[in-house]
Amino acid sequence: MIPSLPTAWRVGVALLGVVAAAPTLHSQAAPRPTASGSAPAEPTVRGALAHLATKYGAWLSIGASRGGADLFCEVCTQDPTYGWGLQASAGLRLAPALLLGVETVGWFDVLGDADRTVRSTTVLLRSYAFGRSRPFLQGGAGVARYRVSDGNAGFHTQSPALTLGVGHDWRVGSATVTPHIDAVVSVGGRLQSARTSNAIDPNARLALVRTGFALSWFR
Amino acid sequence: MRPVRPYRSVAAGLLVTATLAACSGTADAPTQPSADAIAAAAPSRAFGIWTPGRGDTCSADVHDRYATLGPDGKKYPIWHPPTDPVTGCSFGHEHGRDPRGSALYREVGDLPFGYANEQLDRAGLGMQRHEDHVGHKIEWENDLRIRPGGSGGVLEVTCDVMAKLHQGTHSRDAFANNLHELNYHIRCNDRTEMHITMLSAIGRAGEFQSTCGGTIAAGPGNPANAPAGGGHRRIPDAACILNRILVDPSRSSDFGSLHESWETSNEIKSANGKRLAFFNPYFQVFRPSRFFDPLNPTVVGRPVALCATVMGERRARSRECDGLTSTVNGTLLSVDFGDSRSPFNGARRQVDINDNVISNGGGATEWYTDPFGRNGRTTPFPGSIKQFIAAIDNNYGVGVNGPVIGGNRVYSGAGTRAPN
Repeated sequence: MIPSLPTAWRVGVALLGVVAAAPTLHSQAAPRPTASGSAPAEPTVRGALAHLATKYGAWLSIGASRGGADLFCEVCTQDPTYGWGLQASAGLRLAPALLLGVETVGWFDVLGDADRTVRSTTVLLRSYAFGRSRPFLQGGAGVARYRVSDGNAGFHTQSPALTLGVGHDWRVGSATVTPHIDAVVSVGGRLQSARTSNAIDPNARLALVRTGFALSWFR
Repeated sequence: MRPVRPYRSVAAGLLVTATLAACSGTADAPTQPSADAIAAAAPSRAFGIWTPGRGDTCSADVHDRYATLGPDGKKYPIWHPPTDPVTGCSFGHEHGRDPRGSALYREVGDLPFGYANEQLDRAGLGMQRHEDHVGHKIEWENDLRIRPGGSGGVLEVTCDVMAKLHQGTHSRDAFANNLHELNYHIRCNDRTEMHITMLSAIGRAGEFQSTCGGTIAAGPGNPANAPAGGGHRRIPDAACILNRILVDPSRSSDFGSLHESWETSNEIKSANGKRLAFFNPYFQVFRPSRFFDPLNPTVVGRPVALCATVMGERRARSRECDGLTSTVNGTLLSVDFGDSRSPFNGARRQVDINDNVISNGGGATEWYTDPFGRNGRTTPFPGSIKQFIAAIDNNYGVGVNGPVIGGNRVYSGAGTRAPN
């Protein structure tokens, strides 16, 4: 357990640890048969996840994307800006066509007069909706944070967020290349000064839409 | 569910109709006191002090029809157009922008000129301060957009703002007197909202800042015990402007140096000294009808007179002086400073809306302060003025400098002339 981190982060770290500790990574995106029925080694979240990974399989994905982000609130200009993103995700296979995982996304628009960044961490479900086909639909829930700063002062907001995305797995060598389109939408939170923590708007919502490629490995 | 009885609906309708008929306000205007109520009210010190000068075609009676009741029940003068729309007569002075177009007008109503000055009489602070009529100048803007620093263009606060400062620029008053009535109303979509009436202490009494820099001593202030405030009154003085306006043939006169900037710095404080609000609008006047001239017995110099001033090769060389001079018996004369042809009438102005910081999170929204915005309490006391301050903290750690309002408007015309 890592008590200082939020639950989503704890689960994410545990999942990443499970995947990293897995003995081999297979390039198959298709479902594989379940493994042994051995019991978890220890009664912890990490142990339980390790058990699931052994029984059903695990996956890991990293990628890059390009997209636009915008804030919606009373004082927001609602002019989207565009930047590059990085993401990492990892998870378990719950069923032949259903993945559970945690994804963290970083989006950066830092080349202009101000830095605008988005960070989101979500627990997601991915469904290969057409059985053994490669297209998938995924959605999830978590936390998203938006920050804007000119180096001297800034504002940020953080609130619960939902994600929705579609993609397609292409097997390339030992890995899987996954083009995807994703959206992160926060449900609304306090937009506050980074210096004083005073809110300039009590209910700012974030939208981030991005498209990119990911490299995935399935065990 | 109980049925609605027809006679109750009729009664309710009659009640609404009667209520609407009793008020002279409309859906877009505040409820106004009746003419009878104003006529019956006691006059404030500010009421009835204007009298027509040479060239003004309106009578004092016509002028005094523009009045309202202050919170103290006395009658006060208010904004009026330079020309009376009923009689067509001219008042010769203007008060800036018609407040009835402001989005804040419905709740603010007519600004009673001189109310803060009147309250000072009752405040028991051992001082009085009353100002002339023509110096009350209103400026406002709806949907003013302010981009907070550090927001990278992502954020933009939209505000409705209305300000009135007594900013007389025709007499010697502001050379030494630092107390000037200020009404300041602002409402923004980040929940910033203030409705303030006060005597703004602008700099120190007895002195002002020269437009060219430096502090000029200007004699004792009135009142002599006026508190010092932040900011300053930047006013042209003879030593500063004569070299810029009276120039040799190789140069053009710099009439731009005839520019006053009254940079206010205002705090509203509670009785225990906590700062509830801070705002610092700058009020600027271009082409005032005066400058400080210590060699003149009245210490007031007239810019228009410089058009007829010759010092050897040096004289005013600018189109500003076109049509303002004539030669009589070989002597170059200018028009009178109060001639409506003179562009030096103080009718070109602008207001810089700067910081509007509120530190009142969880506090009361209605405060009663002394006329200087101090000693704020939640209950009234003698000489207090009711202020509204939103119960928020809006200090974002970044300053806001300078959205300008009024700079594109000119209020001269229709007989407007100094003193204005």
